[in-house]
Amino acid sequence: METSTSGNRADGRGLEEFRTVFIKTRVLSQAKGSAYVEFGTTKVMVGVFGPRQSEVKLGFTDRGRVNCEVRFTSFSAHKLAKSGQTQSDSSAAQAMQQALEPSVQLEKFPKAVFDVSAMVLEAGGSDLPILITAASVALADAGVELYDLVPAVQLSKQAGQLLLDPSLEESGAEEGSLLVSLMPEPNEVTSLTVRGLWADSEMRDGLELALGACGQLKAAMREALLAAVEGEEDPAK
Amino acid sequence: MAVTASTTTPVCVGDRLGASDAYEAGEGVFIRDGFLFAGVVGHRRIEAPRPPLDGGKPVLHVTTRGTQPLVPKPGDIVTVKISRVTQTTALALIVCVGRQALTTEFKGAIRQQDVRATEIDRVILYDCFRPGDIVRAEVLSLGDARSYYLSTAKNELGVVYARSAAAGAPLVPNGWVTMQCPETQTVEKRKVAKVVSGWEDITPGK
Repeated sequence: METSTSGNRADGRGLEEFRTVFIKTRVLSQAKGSAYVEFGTTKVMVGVFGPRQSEVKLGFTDRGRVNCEVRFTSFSAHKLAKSGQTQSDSSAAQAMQQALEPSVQLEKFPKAVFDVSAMVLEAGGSDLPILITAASVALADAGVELYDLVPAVQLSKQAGQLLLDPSLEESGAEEGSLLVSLMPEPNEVTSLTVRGLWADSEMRDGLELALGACGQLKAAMREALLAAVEGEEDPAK
Repeated sequence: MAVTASTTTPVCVGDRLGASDAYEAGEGVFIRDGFLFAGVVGHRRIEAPRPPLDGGKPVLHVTTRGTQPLVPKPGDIVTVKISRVTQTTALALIVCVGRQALTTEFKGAIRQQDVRATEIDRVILYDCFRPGDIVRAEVLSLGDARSYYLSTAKNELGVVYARSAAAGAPLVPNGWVTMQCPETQTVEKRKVAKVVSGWEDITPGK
């Protein structure tokens, strides 16, 4: 699939436009917190469980941990995949953990572990940043004490252009990619993954675009979280 | 009944709530660079300073609707179920912290020297606790990787519910160290908690 040189992408989006974003919290009644997120066709579901006591073999920790698990369902891709944990599952889980841990107030939970369990129902592109975003919303929904939300975005570099939130087809044709996850309030980047060759100016533009997009995304996350709270009465009354 | 004016503004994680020279940080709130930020999603609530700190700043809380994730902390009064008794320790499962039940149990241990305040080296653990007893204890420390260290060395701490070995009926407390079975009248030894009504006596001051 070609990206049209006039600046409009195959699905009619502008270069700096997200796909249609949908975020909903409290979707799993058994989990402490949960979120269902859709970006275009990519569909992700995350549940947060815990805190539970950390395993003894890891020794005494005065800080808590976040244990991430990712599962790509067998029907998430074009071809029916075999079930069971694959390498991409565990590398996605590690990346998620790295992006999320700085946002959690772990000193408040010594010796405890939070289990963040994510499932990708449809892998339509930019799966990892969407997983991180959804997990951050689920953690906030669970009432875990955080420093900030962690929106994450991916950029694709193609023919001298930067595409925000690439779809699966766009990622397939890219020359390089950039994944940024950010805590907007303290303005701290929690993870940065760069693929391909980037000139200094391209990197600068890319980061500027990504950081701005993260700020936009946080507004959507915030809206979804507050929508769930707005319906309730102030528990102090 | 709310004693102070309370705002019901819903706030989200990361929202800036005020300056640290105007407010104190309460629950669900953290301070960074001289400002207070919300750490959870909930309602913003302001509480006037309590009597000992009358001249102090009002406290800012963010209250959430449900129960927040909870982990036992030193000083908490917890409800535990004894799982195993050895010569030196009674191993227990922490089931509740204060008034709140935990979603999963945490492991705790009551060591011989922490059972009571007097004659701590002459304690026979099997005469204080039996597996299956429900005990009210205080968290002493985070302990080691395996368990929290608990103490029952106060009058109001100790066994609150136990079943008789003979008949399985709930035992009735008979003093500080004995409990009696209402059906068979046998007397069993336990470290009994002096339970005053409600939780007012042991709710830790926050």
